[in-house]
Order: sequence, then structure tokens, then C-alpha cells
Amino acid sequence: MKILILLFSLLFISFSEARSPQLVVVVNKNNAIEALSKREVIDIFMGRYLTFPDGETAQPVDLPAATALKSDFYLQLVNRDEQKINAYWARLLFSGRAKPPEAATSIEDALNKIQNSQYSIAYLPEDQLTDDVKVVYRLNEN
Amino acid sequence: MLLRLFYAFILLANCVVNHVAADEIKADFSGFATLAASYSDDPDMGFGSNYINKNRAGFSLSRESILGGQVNLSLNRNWDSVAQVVLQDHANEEFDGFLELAFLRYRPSRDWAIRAGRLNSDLYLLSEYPYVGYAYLWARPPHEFYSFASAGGHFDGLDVEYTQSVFDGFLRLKLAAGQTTTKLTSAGDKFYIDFDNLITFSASYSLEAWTLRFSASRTDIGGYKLDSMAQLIAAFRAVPTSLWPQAQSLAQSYDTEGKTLSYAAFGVTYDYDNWLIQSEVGISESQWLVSPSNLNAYVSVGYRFGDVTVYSGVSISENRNDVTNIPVPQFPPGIPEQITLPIQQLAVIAQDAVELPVVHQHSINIGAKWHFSDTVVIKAQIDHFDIQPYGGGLWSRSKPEDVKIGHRVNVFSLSTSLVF
Repeated sequence: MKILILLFSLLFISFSEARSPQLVVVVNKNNAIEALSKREVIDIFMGRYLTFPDGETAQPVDLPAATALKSDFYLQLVNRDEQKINAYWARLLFSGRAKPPEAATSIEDALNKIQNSQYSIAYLPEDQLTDDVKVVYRLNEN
Repeated sequence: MLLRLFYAFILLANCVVNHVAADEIKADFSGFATLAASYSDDPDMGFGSNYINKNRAGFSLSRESILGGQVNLSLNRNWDSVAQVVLQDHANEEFDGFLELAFLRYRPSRDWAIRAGRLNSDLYLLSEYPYVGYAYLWARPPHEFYSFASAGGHFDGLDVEYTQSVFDGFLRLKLAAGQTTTKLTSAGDKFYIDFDNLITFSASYSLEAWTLRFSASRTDIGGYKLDSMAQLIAAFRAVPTSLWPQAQSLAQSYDTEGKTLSYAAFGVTYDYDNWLIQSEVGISESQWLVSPSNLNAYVSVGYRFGDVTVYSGVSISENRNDVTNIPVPQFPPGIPEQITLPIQQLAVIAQDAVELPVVHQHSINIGAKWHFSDTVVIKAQIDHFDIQPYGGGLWSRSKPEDVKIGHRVNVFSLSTSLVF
């Protein structure tokens, strides 16, 4: 019986991890930023500030709409699901305050955008990282 | 002074634009729309979605339908520009009234932003996006609170914004100055009112689920253009004080010269998990007889079940002053009727004109918003309005006697809103 419970627990943990991989926030290797706090990531992805803390223009990149990764990112970052995020960005865009992040078509596309632009910033599953990008924040860290 | 500053800013911006490399300029186009069918069940009371739109009784497809287009122009890292046109059921259909935004913005640092041009008023929680149905819960922003505010929805001038992270939350402070001309109609005639030396201060603070907001605004009521009102004032002034002492003070009350209009508002939003609760309280003080002084407030509570949010709310707009009473003057015997009768008729017309714009009403609504897709929402809403006697200033009335009696009106609305 104990073995059964253990197996079930392992299966559940594996399943949970498969659904919610560790997400990391990445920038171009040549970006001077080495690390960001959670608040600084929120500032950039929620359109509060249009620059990195050092004053350089930030170009946030979103993963495709209606994907588990995008949903997980915003739930972990600001505890809001995609419905709320979409309404939030409609408010910011049409009040003239800020434009929403550029939408990537896939993880590969997001990686390409980071590699091609010194000031792009995106979020990815940790297991999809390449040597061309630099991790500046891990979700669920302060 | 303000105008000179504005032109100096535009001139400076022009220099900047001329020095921006073409490959730095990036244009993004976007838009929003609402297609709404609505029905107002009192044939004598015309309902409009806001103060600048046509009031209509019965069924209408145009009453609450809206189409908006926007272009965002990024010029370089410090400069950008936004223009927005919103087509809706305006009573006065001059193009200028449809231009909601046309500004140039300079960001000298990450905390500061300066805008010049056609700007959106930042008076209330929804003031910056009252026409984007996709972005809020209801079929329309609460009528008692936002209808009259639409008269000053945009202005021409400058604003300066400072933003800062404070205690894990985000603070925005804004100071704006400018002027606007509100374009309305009155009994079929075009009605223009200038609001000069408009000054608005607003502060908002967001922390997790909470947003708190305060604003205060003041403006001089400048010139106006409405033939019937000009004739009324001229008629008052022509009456000798010895015959009707009140006439000169009434002329002064109707005239805009030296009059001011002030607003203050406080709002709070709680948006956590499946709950969305929002409330605002506002107070207006007008020295002009034609513009009401009111206490406005609303509370709305929404709860989400998956893709559908159900909501309900109550709104009030209370007239803060007694309705001015203009007694029909009585004359001693011997004065010819050719003199007394026109003066007595003038008093009756003046009393009607005083009663017409007064706003005093309450409403309750219930509705549902369905997130049909990432870019489309569908809403259904029922409003029950309780309009007090001498309190239907937000409505058009088909019979003169409707001004003096109370009304209960139901408005049914079914709409789809999208962003693109």
C-alpha cells in the first residue's frame, strides 16, 4: 500500500512538473542587466515602465496567446489570468499609455527575438534555454 | 501663456521628428468596437449612452455602438505619438468631436512623461478609456457617474506624469492643463461651451488587487454659442430693474462670464481571484445655472464563473442645490399688458430653462459579461432608472410636462465588444 501511495505521489509530482515547468526571464547576452527583481519584471511586463532599470529601452516579448506557458507566467508574476491581462492591456493601449508586449509565435521565435535584439526580454521554460540568452530572473523568486 | 508653451512644445517636437532617422519610426495600428442593440421602454424619455450622444427612445442599434481606431507612432526612445478617432452616436457630428487623442509625448527619464496635444481627461477610474467596452465589465460606464463627464472627456493642452514604485505598489501622479470646447445640441440647435484654464490633478496607487484613485479638477466656463440662450440673456437685460428686479441677476446667472466648474472624485477597485468590486464617489460644484452641481456615486460587484462574469450595481446622481424658483412677476394696475405679458412669459421660459438640465436619478443594474474569445466579449445588461421630478437632465423629454414628474425607465442592452 505504501509503495502504491509513493508511486502515486511521484506520478502526481511528475505530472505537476510537466504542466508547470520552471519559467525564467531572459535577455540578450549583451544586455548590461545581470539580474532583475520580481517588481522590476512586473514593471516591464505590465507596462509600468518602458525601460530597464538602467534606462535602456525594454522590448518585452510574450509567448503565444492561450498557451499554458503564458498563462502560468502571468499567474505566477501578478496572480492574474489571461482574461484579466488582456483587459488590462486594452485599458493601457487605448488610454494611450503603453503598448502590449510583442507576441512571439513560438518559443523558438521568442529565442530568435532575444538573440536579435539587445533590449528584448522574454520568459521561457528553463529547459528550453540556449547559450545565446541570459537568465535575469527565475519565477517564484523575490 | 499655456498656448505659447503648447506651441513651443510642438515646435520642439517638430525639430525632433525632423532629426529622427526613418528606420527609427514605427507605426502600430489597433482598434476597438462595440455593436450594441438596446431598448429603452419609456417612449417619452430619450436615453443616450452619454451626455454628448443622441438621446433615443425605444429600440436602437446606434445608441451604444462604437468604432475606434488608433495609431501609435514610436519616433525614438524618448518620443512617441498617439492618435485615436472614436465614431459614436454624437448629437453634434463635427469631426473635431470624434478625435479623442492626438498627442506627442516626451519621456525625459523612465519616471517622467510630458504630453501635448489632444489628451484624454484623467478625472475618473474609466476616464481614459470610457468607449472600450472590451476593457470593463458593464454595457457602458455607470450612467449617473460617467454621462456628464463625457462633456469634458478630452481637452487640448499639456500634462506631466510622474510614476514611482512605492512600498511594492505603483504610484502615478499627473498634472494637466488646457482647454476644451464641448459640442452639444439643444432643441436641435448646435450648442458650444468653452472650458478655459482647465487644471486637473490626479493620483492613483495600485497594490496587488487594489487600485485607489483621487482626482480634482477646476475650469473657467468661457464663451458659449447657443442662440436661444443668448436671446434669453438679452431679454433679461432689456427688462428695467424697476419692473422686475430679479431679471438682471438672472441674466448674470445664465451668463458664463466669471463662472467656474469644479470636480473632485475618489475611486477604489478590488480585483482579486473571481471578484471584481469597484466604487467611485464624485462631487461637482458649478456656479453656472445651466450646469448642475451634483453628488455622484456607484458601487458595482462582479463575480466570475469561468468565462462568464455576473455583476450588479447601484448608481446615484443627487442634485446638491434646490431648483431655482423664478416667480412670475406681478405688476400694479395701470401698466399696459403689452409690457407685463412678455415679462411674465419670459419668467415662465426662464423657469423651464432652469429645470431642464437638473440631474437627480438613481439606478440599479444587473448583467453578465462572457469572454467569448481572447479578443471578443459579449454582454447583456438590464438597467432600471428611477428619475426624480425635475431630475431628468441626462434624458430628452418629448413632452414639457415630463420635466416636472418622476419616471421609471428600463433599458435593455445586448452587445458584443472586440479589440483588434
